[in-house]
Amino acid sequence: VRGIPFRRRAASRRERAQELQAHLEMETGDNIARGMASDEARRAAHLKLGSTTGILERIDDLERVPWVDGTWTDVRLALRGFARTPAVSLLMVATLALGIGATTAIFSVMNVLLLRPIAGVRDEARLASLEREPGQGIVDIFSYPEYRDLRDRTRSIDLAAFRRTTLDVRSGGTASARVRGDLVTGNYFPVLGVQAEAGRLLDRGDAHADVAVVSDACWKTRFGGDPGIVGRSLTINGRAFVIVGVTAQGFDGTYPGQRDDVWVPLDAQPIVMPRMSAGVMDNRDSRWLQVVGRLAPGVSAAAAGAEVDAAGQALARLFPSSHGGRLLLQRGLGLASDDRGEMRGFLGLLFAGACLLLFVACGNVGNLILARADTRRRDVATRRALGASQGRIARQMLIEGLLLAMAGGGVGLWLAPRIILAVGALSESAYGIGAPALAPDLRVLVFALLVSVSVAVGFTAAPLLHVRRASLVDALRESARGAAGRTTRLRQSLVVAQVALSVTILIGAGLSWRTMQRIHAVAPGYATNGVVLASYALDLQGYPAPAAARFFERLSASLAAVPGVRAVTWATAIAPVEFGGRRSVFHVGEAPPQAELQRREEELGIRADVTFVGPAFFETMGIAIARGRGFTGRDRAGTQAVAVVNEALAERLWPGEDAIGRDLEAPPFSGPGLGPMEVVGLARDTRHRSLLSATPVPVLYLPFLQTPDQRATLALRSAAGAAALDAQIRQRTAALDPNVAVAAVQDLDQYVAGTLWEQRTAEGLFGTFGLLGLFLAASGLYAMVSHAVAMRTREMGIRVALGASTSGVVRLVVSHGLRLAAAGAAIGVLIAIAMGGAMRHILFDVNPRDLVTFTAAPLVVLLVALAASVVPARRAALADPSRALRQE
Amino acid sequence: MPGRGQPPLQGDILQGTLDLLILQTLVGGPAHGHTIAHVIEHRSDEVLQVEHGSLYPALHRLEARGWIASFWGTSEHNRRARYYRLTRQGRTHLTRQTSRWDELVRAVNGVLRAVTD
Repeated sequence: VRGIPFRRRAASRRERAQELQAHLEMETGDNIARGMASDEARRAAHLKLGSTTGILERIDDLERVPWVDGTWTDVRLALRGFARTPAVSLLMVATLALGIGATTAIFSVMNVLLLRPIAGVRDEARLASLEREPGQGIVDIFSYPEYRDLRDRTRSIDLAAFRRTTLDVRSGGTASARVRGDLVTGNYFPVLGVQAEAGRLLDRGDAHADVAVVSDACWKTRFGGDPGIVGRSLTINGRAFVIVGVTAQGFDGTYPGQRDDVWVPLDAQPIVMPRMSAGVMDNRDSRWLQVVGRLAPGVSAAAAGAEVDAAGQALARLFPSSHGGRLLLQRGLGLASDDRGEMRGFLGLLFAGACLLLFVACGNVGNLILARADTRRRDVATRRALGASQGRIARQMLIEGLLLAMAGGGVGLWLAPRIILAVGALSESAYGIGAPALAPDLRVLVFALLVSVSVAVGFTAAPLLHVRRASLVDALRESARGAAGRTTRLRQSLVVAQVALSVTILIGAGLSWRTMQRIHAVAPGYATNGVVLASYALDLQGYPAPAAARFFERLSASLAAVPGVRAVTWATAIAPVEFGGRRSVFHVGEAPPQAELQRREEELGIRADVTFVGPAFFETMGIAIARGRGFTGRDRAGTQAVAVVNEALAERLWPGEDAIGRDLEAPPFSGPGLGPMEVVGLARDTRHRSLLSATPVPVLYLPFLQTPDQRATLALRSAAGAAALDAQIRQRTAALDPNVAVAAVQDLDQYVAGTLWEQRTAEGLFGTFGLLGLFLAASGLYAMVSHAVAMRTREMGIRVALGASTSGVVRLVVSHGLRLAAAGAAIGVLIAIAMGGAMRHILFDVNPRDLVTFTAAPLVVLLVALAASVVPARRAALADPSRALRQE
Repeated sequence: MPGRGQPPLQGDILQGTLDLLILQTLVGGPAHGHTIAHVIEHRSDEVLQVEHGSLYPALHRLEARGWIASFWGTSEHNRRARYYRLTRQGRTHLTRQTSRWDELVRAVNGVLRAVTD
């Protein structure tokens, strides 16, 4: 539609020009008639009419919808300009894409984890998550009895409980897959207001049934969208569940960025989470459930909060040893408030790094634009002299900037999720964000747009100030060389800033890298590589404890025969993946009666983490025995009760003395104990709770065969990973008992890597940003030095002609480049020092002002700067002096 | 009014006034831009110097409003030239504006005389 008026307008513009031409000729004719010489007559006519370009532009301005048209013309002009120098244009777009992509990438993670509402639930504003006041342990988990009592004591809010976990699912003849799922109370779906897409969702009547609800995605991928899905069977951790319905598309569970696929009633907990101890449903101290509620109609969040808190206080008076502290309601779903705070800090740090990269990228593009501005100065000055208004020129430059930034922003938007997925740690971690969640939504689009526009305005401003002062006379008089001199200062400051910021990012990258080195250098005291874990809950198949012990013995023997498996053992809890509970340890005869223990266990004896381990546990897990021996198959029921203590526990029990051969007591919380146990071995301290915690925790190891349990985790030592051994483990388990389910076959090192996701993400992203920043700064410096050299070719020629040596010229140019780089590096170090403690939280065993990093990063940058200066310098020095002198 | 010999009023012809002068010039018949400029200057005893640069945008504006129309013709020197003529709408507009102008002049004069008396 638009094309026609444009064409007509072009014709009209031609006519106007002809009209003015005719006017000039007539005026010239009149002037000659008045007796002027023809040259003078023509000049006078031109003077009297003024600038024809100006007149035509004024008429154009009258004619058009003022800005749409002008903008369109400018867009075409700009595109034509870019097409003239395609390589430079592409370089600018790519550079901007990196900067905008990096910031958008981090922003999209922030969006998923902190900003975006949870999809598929009704009216999230009326939902609230239950939390404890800080300082009382993890803020958002509760024991089942605590949840049940709170639910029954509140009227203003309908509370539902759930637990997210991973589970193994299988359907038909397919291989089993690990998916995320939830154990939920019967009112979970009604409280959230989730719709069913097929069948029905779980309700209160499902409590004890083996029924499951699956996600829309699970239905479509695993069951091919089978319309007869309701009533089909889904095997979860080896137990068959009947599918009763499918959740509506769009509902992915309540955790931001992740997708849950299966929902089963809370009573399926022993099947779904076999590693939790039996009786957890009745244990007031075992906190494992999240609680969410919907406010009753007409009730304010404050009123509901007050009621929940009052109910909590009442419970705390009834059960002072289990409950305590205030309860509060957090608006909506999403991360718990402490995780949210931590996440905000961490992502803020990454975002700062991305912004630095964006600034470096802008520096490069600004430099290229300034270089273009140099060559365009005469052009612009001429246009202005011909009557183009200043606003017109400003608008055109802004449009060029916007076009560049939009193109860069578009590519950046494409790049953003790929950056996150490439670095990996963020998408694999506990906060794992999948590709679908990273697909840009409106908020991300607006963010990328805003960044692009600010970037465009930002780097248009400098050249604009520069050309504003361009007067025709100056511009026409100046040689290209003189004109360039004006931008040199600006361009130099840009390069200094670029070098500074890239040094800052590199320091961040260096600190993260050093942290990972330190972490890798940690000797945890147990083997992390080549350990495969698999969990069992034999109580589900009705095994009594002694039978379970026999089962684990036979299974271990069977698996030890698998080629490539070097050793097999099992334990009730394998650190640091699982926590087996704690006991109070006493010298013989000092243990209080059990009733006393139950009342004040926390205050009595020496608290130690306890784990019941199978034969060859220490050899298999690579835990060193300093003195004495580990357990063997002979340490079983009916023989002398024995124990192995770690160094920290021995030091607490018998400071400075030999623990071997001494007796200790560690009575259980309930049930009969074994009485005094003889310490037969002293194990070295390990990083029992976390790889990053250097403080040794007292640990008591007891023989599984003397205190058998129905639940245990098997550990296989093998170079083959979990993926390779999975089938063998399941096959050999089934050979012993086809009804026994295997859960959570995983590599220990992958688990450990998962706990380090923050450090790994920082290393990956800062490393990437750092290298890109370094590359951009180097190319900026290279371009600047090349440009400066080109401008000084004549001077170089004279120097060489006057006898300066080649090396002298090289030194001159290089020292100039290095001086700028050194100034930048110094500023970068100062910025990093000022930002100081920002990274402390994610560092491990590395000083936030680590001397090595703070020396190495600027040195690397200076070396790269040296290389970036030497190349153009050598070119200058080798130039033929006579050619250089003739050049202008 | 300044007499002859005094510097011509330049560049400060109010926009509306220029429109009026152009329309008045065209009452005598079609003319091209160059003629219009010179007629205005001549009739005002050279007091009103038409800035040629403003003339053409003004012509364009008047044409866009439908008060004048243009056509290509041949000039007195046998050149192709763009001629403008008054439309009926333009004539009505001119009559109305001229009487308003007269009122304005009377009013201003009234004020000025009162001051000099």
